[in-house]
Amino acid sequence: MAPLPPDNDPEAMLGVADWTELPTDERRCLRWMLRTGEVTIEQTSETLVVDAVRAEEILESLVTRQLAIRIEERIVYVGKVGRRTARFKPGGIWDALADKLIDD
Amino acid sequence: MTTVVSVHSFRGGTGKSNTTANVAARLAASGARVAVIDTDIQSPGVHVLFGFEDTPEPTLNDYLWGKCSIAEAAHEITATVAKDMGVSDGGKLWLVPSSIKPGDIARVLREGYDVGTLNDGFRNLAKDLNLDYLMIDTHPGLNEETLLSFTISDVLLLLLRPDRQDFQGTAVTVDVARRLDVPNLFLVLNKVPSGIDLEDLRQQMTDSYASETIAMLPLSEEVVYNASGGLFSLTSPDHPWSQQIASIVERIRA
Repeated sequence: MAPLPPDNDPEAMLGVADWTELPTDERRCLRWMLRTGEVTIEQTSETLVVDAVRAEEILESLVTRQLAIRIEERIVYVGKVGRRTARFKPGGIWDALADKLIDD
Repeated sequence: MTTVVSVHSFRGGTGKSNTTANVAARLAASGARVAVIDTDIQSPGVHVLFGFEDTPEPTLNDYLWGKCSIAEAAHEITATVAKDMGVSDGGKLWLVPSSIKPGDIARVLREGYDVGTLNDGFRNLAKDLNLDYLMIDTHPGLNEETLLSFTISDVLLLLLRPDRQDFQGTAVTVDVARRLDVPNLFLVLNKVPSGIDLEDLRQQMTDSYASETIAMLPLSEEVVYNASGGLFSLTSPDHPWSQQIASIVERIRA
């Protein structure tokens, strides 16, 4: 089952680890987008050797998974990766450590 | 087009930073434009191999916190290579260090950062410096940064020692790298004791991982005594360890 981000958290998105479970075309496309930057449907069609309809489907699938953003005015898509989450430990250990180290 | 090379291992202490620094220096010496980026932000160290006691500023941390551009965090260190080995025309080497300051490391652990910014940094660095090679020195194990670096890499060098824990962990890493469609996955066996049948070992690795082993670096007292005190393959180019580094360089260039 290809992953989707959780419905109940608008800020949630898939992490890099989830990319291994993406369908092959989406995974190939995302990999290429991350190297390239902004891409168009036409470029996607050429690179993945699929027709324009299929290229748009792949890009929209990545948008649905919150792994790409559609920039409407220019009809380009940009690959998107998530945030490395902070490592929360009980008792604010990182805060305490950072405060101490900065003080020192 | 820049060739992105990630240097990774499942476990620590395999010699990633030493290998990264020596391979990068030799690529630069051969006339290539090369940058090394230390993404081991929790335990940085590759800067030591290039002669820095402290990390030069600004660092990768500053870029991730929006304080500077990635190009500003790239420090040209071609002279480090040139003092030990001739550098062919056009050869350049840059280092993007991660901060060794305890407060900066703690801040990254405490606050996290946008992994997308790191990817933008890889792409912009390649473009801004017109790089032939971008070498990514990673944190051991599997995490967001290392998986990102796998995803965007043309070449993945996986280092391991002849050790059962390394062998098992490397199998996991190879599996993940395959799922992420890394085009060229090469194994590098490091710290190989003398007296081992190298061809038998190479065959075992090929059978186990279905990947090519491109170098077998000997366990060397001279390398140990060097203690990250410089680029061993430049100061001792005829040493068997250095010759294996040269083999890695040739394979990457091919």
